[in-house]
Amino acid sequence: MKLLNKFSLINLLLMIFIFIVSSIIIYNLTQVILLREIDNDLVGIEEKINNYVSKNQIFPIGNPLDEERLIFQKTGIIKPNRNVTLIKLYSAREKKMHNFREITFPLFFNKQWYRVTIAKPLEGVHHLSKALLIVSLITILATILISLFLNRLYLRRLWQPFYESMSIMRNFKIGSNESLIFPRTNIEEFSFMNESLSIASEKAKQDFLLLKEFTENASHEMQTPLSIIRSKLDVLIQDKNLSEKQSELVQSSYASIKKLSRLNQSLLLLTKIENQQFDIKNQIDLKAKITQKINQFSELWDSYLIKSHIELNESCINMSPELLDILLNNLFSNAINHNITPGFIQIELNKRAFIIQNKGINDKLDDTRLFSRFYKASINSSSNGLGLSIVSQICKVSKIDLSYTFQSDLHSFSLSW
Amino acid sequence: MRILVVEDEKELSNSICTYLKNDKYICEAVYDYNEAVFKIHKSDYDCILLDITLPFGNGFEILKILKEIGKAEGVLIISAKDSLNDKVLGLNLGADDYLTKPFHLPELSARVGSIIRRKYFEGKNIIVLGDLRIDNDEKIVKNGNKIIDLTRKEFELLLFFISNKNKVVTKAAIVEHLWGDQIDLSDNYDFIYTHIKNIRKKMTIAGCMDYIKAVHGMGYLFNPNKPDINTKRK
Repeated sequence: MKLLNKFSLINLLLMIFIFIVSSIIIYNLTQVILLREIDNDLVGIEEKINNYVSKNQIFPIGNPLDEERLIFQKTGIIKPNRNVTLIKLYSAREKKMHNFREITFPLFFNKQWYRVTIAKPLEGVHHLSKALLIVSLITILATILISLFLNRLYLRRLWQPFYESMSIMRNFKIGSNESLIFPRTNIEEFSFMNESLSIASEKAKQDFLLLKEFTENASHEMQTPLSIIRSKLDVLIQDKNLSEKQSELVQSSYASIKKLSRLNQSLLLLTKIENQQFDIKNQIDLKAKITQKINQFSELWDSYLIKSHIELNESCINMSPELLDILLNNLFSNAINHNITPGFIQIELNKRAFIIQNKGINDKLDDTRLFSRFYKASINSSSNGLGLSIVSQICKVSKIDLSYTFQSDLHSFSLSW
Repeated sequence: MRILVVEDEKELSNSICTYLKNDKYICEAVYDYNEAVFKIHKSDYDCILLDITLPFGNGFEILKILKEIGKAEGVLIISAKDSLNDKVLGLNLGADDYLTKPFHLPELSARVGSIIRRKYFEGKNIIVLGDLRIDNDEKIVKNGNKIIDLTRKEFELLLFFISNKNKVVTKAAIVEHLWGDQIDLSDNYDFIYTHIKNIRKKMTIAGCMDYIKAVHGMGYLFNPNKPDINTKRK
């Protein structure tokens, strides 16, 4: 969930709550205020009646045009209580029962006590408070909607530098030489974030350079003694007096040196791929590339008595040409090295898939460990167990799906993108 | 032919010189940048073997100096760095070829031979060996007037042997030369035998002597001076 949406949601819930509470309060408050107004009116009428009676010595007659009802009841010597109540009376105008506010008070006239009752309809109060409620509700609702809309508008603009910085970070490549340039912002939090991001990316770049230097140096240091040993052997075998026994010893030394140097190269290659040092991508005509590889390998297949079945369709892929070459070399070599005699290789290329299948040991390989480093199907295997790991790594950085299946005696590696 | 070996590892340099030294090549070895700069100013060479990482400087600087003083020596870079950037940089600075360590000395010899041939036989890249005429541009081999019809790989193999005359070359070196070091083949190199057998057959049919001799099942020796009469095949 976006921060903006989350904020809006919380804001909205809060506003709805405020809206409900405030409408209840407004309604009740207007009721109370208006009722007090009416009570004041009634007290005013009471005073007027008292004055009228003491001045004119006669009860006033209610004006039929007035809404108030006026009733005088003789109570004799008993002095009636004074109180203010809410009652329901029949309203002639609305032709139904209606709320009235009624005041009763004692009046002494002609040596007798009278109970005076004045009732005033609350109809107006009711309508007024309803109207007030509606007006205030509309105002509040409009305020909420406008503020939500403006919030979204402003927040999006306020967060703009954040999104810009993030998209710059996303395009950050550790191997590239360019420094990151973040947009200037006068918001303290964002400039702090940009500063931290700059520092972190610079540090990462420096560490990466050191690591790159280290791996290259390590490889260099390893390759040099290996070159020396190999060159000494190359010179040694020129000796005409070399016996057959000695030749055998030299041969196994050669084999071990080859293994060691290949191991070193493979590990270095894996590090390079993981460090994304092959990030130049091109659109490559895969059919042409694979045809070229097949030409390169077909003589080898003949030598190993391997039959082949090839089906190529037009296909393109966007990846590093260097990595593609290594990927194909590894898959093709793999299909030869693990074949049987007489063997079989099947190659299929479709628009977005490449499948290479070969005969081999008559059992499914452990596909959970197949692509992990130093996995060997058999102990006697002369491979270093890094070939498929390199294939898997290349597929990973090139966004290619790689899978292994074993069907009808064929080990099958399929790539799709 | 004079060859300058610029390589800081003395042991490797010694092996290279021992291997390359014969009636045709004279090797001079220098072990650091300053010595190398001194030598290239002082004398002319037919080929320079150049390491990139050197004490007191690096090989790319030497390439620049060669360009500045207008020397057209053939340069073969021998570097432990198998990086495409270095390769491109080296070749752009005027190097002729790039070989990654660890390499087989026969491979080095073949590359040196190719550079020198390119330099001295401009337009006419033909090797003559007794009655054998090898036209490197047309990829045609003739024995006298008879054309020996070799496949591309067989032709390359013959050329490789000729670059390493009188030297034992291992099967591994042959495989790497013919198929490149990127192809990771298991240690079984028996299929090389088929190629050797075919070359021998085709050359014999064309009336050529059998110059290729198997050595202890380890490799082969190409000796145009002493054709192998009783061929031992292993």
